Amino acid sequence: MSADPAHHSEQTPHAHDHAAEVAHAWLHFRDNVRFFACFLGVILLTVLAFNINFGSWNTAVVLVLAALRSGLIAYFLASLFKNFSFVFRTLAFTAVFLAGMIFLSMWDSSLKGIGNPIEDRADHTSQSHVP
Amino acid sequence: MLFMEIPYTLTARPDTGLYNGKLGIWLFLASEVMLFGAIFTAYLFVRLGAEDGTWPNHIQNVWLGLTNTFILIMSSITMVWAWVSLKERKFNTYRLALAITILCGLVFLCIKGVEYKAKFDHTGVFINEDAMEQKYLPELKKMDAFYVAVPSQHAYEIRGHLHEQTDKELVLLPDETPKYLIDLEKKETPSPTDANASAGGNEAAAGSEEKTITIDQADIQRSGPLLPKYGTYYAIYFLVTGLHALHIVGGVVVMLYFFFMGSFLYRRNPEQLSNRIEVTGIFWHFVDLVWITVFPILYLT
Repeated sequence: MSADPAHHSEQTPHAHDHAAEVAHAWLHFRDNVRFFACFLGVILLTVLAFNINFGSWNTAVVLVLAALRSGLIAYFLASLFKNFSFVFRTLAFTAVFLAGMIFLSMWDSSLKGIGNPIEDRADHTSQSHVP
Repeated sequence: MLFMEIPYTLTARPDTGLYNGKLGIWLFLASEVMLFGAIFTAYLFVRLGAEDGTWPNHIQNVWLGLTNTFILIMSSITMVWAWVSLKERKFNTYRLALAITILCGLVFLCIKGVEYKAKFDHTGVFINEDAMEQKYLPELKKMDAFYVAVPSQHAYEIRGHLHEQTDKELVLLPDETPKYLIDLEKKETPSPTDANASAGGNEAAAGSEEKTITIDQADIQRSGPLLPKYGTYYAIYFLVTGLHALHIVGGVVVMLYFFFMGSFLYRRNPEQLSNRIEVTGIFWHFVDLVWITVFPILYLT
């Protein structure tokens, strides 16, 4: 990076190829519409699945739908900053920090003898009554 | 007087590839990810640690939640439309798209208000298991009322509108079984004789439009409106949706500023306004994505 501020001075918008910018903006718009249509589709699928009893496949269906939603969100965010490695690094650091926070919470729980709630739950069976 | 131009308000810095506003919003969103991430992590622990039956089922109106999801998704699209219109230098289209986005945000908040009011108006009652099975269960079944067994607390929970409450008894208009709920048990269709018999039941006004049930206070473990103190789920629900609604309010306020001041800002520098709208749009997308995460975990339980 040059130390000379004049080297990076502001350019007037007219210096850009305005037509190319507009074309890029429309491309971005169409990408967004596609993304949000997919989001809506997956949400509708989730609501539909919520109303259907898949028996032993319930967990599998829920996991697949959750993975679809998470994947779409991650892909959408990535598409927003795919050209900006700085943002990518920042958010990657955020993810690492968040994972560390979750790990520390679980570690703290096991130290205090609260235990792993997932393993504890295996001993019980849900008896919620649905009329 | 010496004026110094702030660099990179319009064009990107070569090293980050971002102009100032965009860099700022991404750093802000990173902190937001931490905030919501921490809350979702807390939710995970609380949900997994909940005792059997204590996590409420079918408390939310899924269709209202779905409508809100649709509205937010539409608003995200109109937000990008506003930005594209500015790029095209179509100011009127920009204002139209922004107005629709603002309207969507306000409608979202109104629907959220309706949902909150339903919680405030509702009362939940935990009834002792034995008393429920002996005194109230047959009646509730005839009324097709929604109830949930809470084995860990030796109780049943019913929810509805509070009609009357005295020291000795509580009169409740119970919620019906949600239409979208799958009936896992085969229900027997009550015969006309049964229907007549229910009229003489435990003060149930069968046949009338409002079917109420009277519960002795001695049989009640606890009761109250569906507020955060009623249970962990409600605390999480109001925390997450309240925080999300605050973000919506923030976004709407910013958009209102750009709507009313847009003309002035556009005349001064259209490209800068376009950048500002882009940054607002990124924030709005984030709020949308948070809702897409919140909706399944809080509504589809």
